[in-house]
Amino acid sequence: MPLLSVAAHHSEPGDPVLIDWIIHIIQSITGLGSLPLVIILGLIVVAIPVGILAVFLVQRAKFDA
Amino acid sequence: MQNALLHRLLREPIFYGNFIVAAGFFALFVSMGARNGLGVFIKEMEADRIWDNRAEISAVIAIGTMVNALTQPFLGRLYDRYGARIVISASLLVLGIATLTLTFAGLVIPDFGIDIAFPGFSIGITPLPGLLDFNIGIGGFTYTLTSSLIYLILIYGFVMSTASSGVSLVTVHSVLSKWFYRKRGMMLSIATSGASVGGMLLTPFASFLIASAHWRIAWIALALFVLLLALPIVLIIMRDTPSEVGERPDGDKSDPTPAANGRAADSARAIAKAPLETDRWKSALRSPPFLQLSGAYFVCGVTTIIISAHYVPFALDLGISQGVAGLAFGFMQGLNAVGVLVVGFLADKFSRKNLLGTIYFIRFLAYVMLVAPGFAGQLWGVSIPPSIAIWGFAALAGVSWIATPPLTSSLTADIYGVRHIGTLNGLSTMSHQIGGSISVFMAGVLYVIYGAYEIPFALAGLTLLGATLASYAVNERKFSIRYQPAPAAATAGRAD
Repeated sequence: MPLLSVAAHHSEPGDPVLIDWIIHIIQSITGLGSLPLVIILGLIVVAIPVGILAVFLVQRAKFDA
Repeated sequence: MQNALLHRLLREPIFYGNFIVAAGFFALFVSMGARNGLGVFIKEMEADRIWDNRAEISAVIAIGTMVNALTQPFLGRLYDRYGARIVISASLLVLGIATLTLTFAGLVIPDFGIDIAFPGFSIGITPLPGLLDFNIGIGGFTYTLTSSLIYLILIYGFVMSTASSGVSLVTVHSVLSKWFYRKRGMMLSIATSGASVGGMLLTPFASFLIASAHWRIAWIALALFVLLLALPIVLIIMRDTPSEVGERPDGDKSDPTPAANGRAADSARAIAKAPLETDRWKSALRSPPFLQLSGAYFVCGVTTIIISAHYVPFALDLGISQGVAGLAFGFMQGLNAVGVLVVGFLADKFSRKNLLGTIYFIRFLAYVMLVAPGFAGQLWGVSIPPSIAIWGFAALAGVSWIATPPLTSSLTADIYGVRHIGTLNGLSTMSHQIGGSISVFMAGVLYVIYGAYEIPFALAGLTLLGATLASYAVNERKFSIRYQPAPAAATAGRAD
């Protein structure tokens, strides 16, 4: 799947075989199943914009007044 | 220490530009995951017979790659005309909706829409919740495109690939170049790392969601990240120029004074006209710095994308296990974020063109390590353990992997100003993507001819010497605003 890697540059390895291997490693290190890992990773992703927005709104409320 | 940080975040005013960096970081974080996440879906979608064979999905990806490369300058041009908020948010909206519609790929949808019939041929649309499904009927039979390869080509190859050009390093670097002058290198690097971190988090997220639910659910989740997280952040925070919120680049407070020096001089340069800034962006195409930077960026595409595609197979050819090859590649990816941040810090302290040249030279050394075992064994009978090649390359290349985009964009802004920065960044990124596409194809052809990767890797590595020399040869002292005398405030160009 060489062409997939063209789209993937600057972001991630796009090789499906490599992705499978990385997934297996993460599961064996953490000892967690797929669903708990989905929840953990999902919470991390959601926390980033929520954190940014929270600080932004607090700053605007405090210093724009 | 955490309390001190929290206290500072909540009690002291933060420069608005830092929020632009955060918004850009997250837009890249999510958009890279949405469009480039296709890799984790391939096996499952293939199992559901969404396409017949790998050649078909390769065609979809090839079209998407080319569309993405060719649309970069156009989206950059739109950015120059309409600004970051409009272009990035519109692109996120389209990207999110298109990602959502991938959920319907392969579904057989009843044709209850409106068709226009011609003799032996009909065309029309079927309105669905949140989706317009195109129908084409031939000879009395109507086909819904969601169950065809054309649907994937249309949605992924054209719509998503075009939209992701609008949420890319081109637009994010361009807007940050307007917000930062002294810290331009660092801030562009922080935003760039969002693409890398996004890939690292969203790829396993999508994989685990596919494993625990279904690939259609995973597409929905990625689409919701775009539509419900990234889009609001951009709409609420993104502003195209500091003057829109009454700020100055870098958060400087006072007007620069004539004959200023130090920080005040930088403040004056930040709003001054760049040495090669003109009314027409086309004039930049004939100037040596743009050709040098774009040429070097072409080589960047050649030497990174060829590795993304062929590194693991090459390692396996050397007798390295798949696990170790994957670990080395993962190590290289992990160094991305570290490398780009270190280079960003250095970019604001030292000559950017020298740093760019050094990065290309480090990557050249990485390639020397990569091909050394093969050539040393064949030419001189010297045995070098392949693991040295694999790990040495991973360490050196990892540092340089995504360090070049922020340096290239920073230099472009320093030399050509921010007036046409979107178009110019788009053109250089197009050359990067085209270089990558050519290199992957050429490496495959040369591998078939020679039965080994050493020749294509050596040729790719040699192009890095050209990129190194081209970067070092940029006359930064003459053309970069950083090295010009501070202009008087009265004659400074404009704030943005």
